[in-house]
Amino acid sequence: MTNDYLPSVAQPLSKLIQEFHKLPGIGPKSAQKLAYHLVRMPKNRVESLASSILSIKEDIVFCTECQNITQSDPCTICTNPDRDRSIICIVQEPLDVLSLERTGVYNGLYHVLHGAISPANGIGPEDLSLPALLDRLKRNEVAELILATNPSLEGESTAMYIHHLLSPIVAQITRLARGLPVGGELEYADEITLGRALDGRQTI
Amino acid sequence: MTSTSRIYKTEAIVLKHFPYGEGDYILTLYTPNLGKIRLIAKGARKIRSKLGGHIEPLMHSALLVRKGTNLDAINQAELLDGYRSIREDLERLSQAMYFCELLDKITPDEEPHHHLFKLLQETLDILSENPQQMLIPYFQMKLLQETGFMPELYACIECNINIQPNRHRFLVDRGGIICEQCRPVGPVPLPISLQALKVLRFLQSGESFIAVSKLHLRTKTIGELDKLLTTFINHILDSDVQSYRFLNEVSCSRM
Repeated sequence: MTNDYLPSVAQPLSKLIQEFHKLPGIGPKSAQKLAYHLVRMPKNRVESLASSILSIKEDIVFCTECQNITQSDPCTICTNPDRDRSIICIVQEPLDVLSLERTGVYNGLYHVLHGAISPANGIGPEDLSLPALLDRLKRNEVAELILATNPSLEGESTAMYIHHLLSPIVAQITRLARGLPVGGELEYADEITLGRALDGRQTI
Repeated sequence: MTSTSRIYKTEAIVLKHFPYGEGDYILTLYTPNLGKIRLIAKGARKIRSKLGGHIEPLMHSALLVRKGTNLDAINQAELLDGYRSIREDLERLSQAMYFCELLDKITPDEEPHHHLFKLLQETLDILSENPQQMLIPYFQMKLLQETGFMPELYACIECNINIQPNRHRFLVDRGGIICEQCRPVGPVPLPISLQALKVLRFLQSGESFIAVSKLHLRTKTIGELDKLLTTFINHILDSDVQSYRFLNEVSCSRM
């Protein structure tokens, strides 16, 4: 979308529309709606939005320990004295930390890989934050690593690769259980998921 | 258009996927009767999707597809073979990913080729039973044969005389063997041992994998075959097969 398409729109507004249009999932109409909405918003709220956008670039860093996105380095999870420091849960993306934290079940530390092995897309083990993990394992006594990568082909290959790499130096490496989701129906489950659910069945 | 014609059924092996939108995947699949196709699987990334577990890469599934304006969409999917033993072994998995990427790169879209589907299925079946060192050159040569890129292995590609033992080299950009007398311009020909040439001819003769797997080859010859075929394939594709590096890394460390 260029200025030529919007000859009647004031220059600052059409620039804003173009910027919105560059964001993922925002089409030309949504971009226009958002921009006009901002025009009508009170100045203090627009300033607050603008400053929070700027601050994600200025105030956010990667935690040198767990590689998660954080405001302070090391992050609040890594510095929390109540956390169990002998367990590290390995996840693909920062958003996965959020999902696991919401469960309220886990009290150990994390390590964010920032991706998964996908050879066909040119992503190999060297593109993940594995050197930082190895460094952590050298410095700290870790009893258990939990591999919480996605149960997709990429996530599984990453988990197998890390297991191979680290099994000589970590006492216990576990993988998140794979099985049936809550609210699902057996009829629609694929045989691999069902097979694994049977393998991992538990007494009640 | 009648209502029935908007829906069709096909078997397919998923070659790759990439995330699209909020929870969708766009898949590249190989089918027996439609060749290589691209389909959208709506909601397949969501954990409770009824499609997700049936259409991961390397899965062989029966699909019900609804025609769409841009991409056709998968309506229903049922797993026929998930190749679990491949998915749970990194060495086999790295090989399977290489086969899928190679087939994806070398074939054009929507060009039916039943033998290629059979080749992929046969190769994954063999791999899921037992990893075999000759499987990669077997797949590479069959693929070259089926796609029309089979190298010339008997007569010199310059002067057309029959090649004498131990007096030959392989010219990648011409796709065949060249004799000692000919001096081609351009890239330097690759050396090829008599042993490696014989193995290539044996693979070319269309022997079944059972016969191929009985060959006892030295590690050096296998390495030579691997280098030659990979260089030749990269030349045909005009790009690297990216999974090859991972395949090598995994097999070197014998996972």
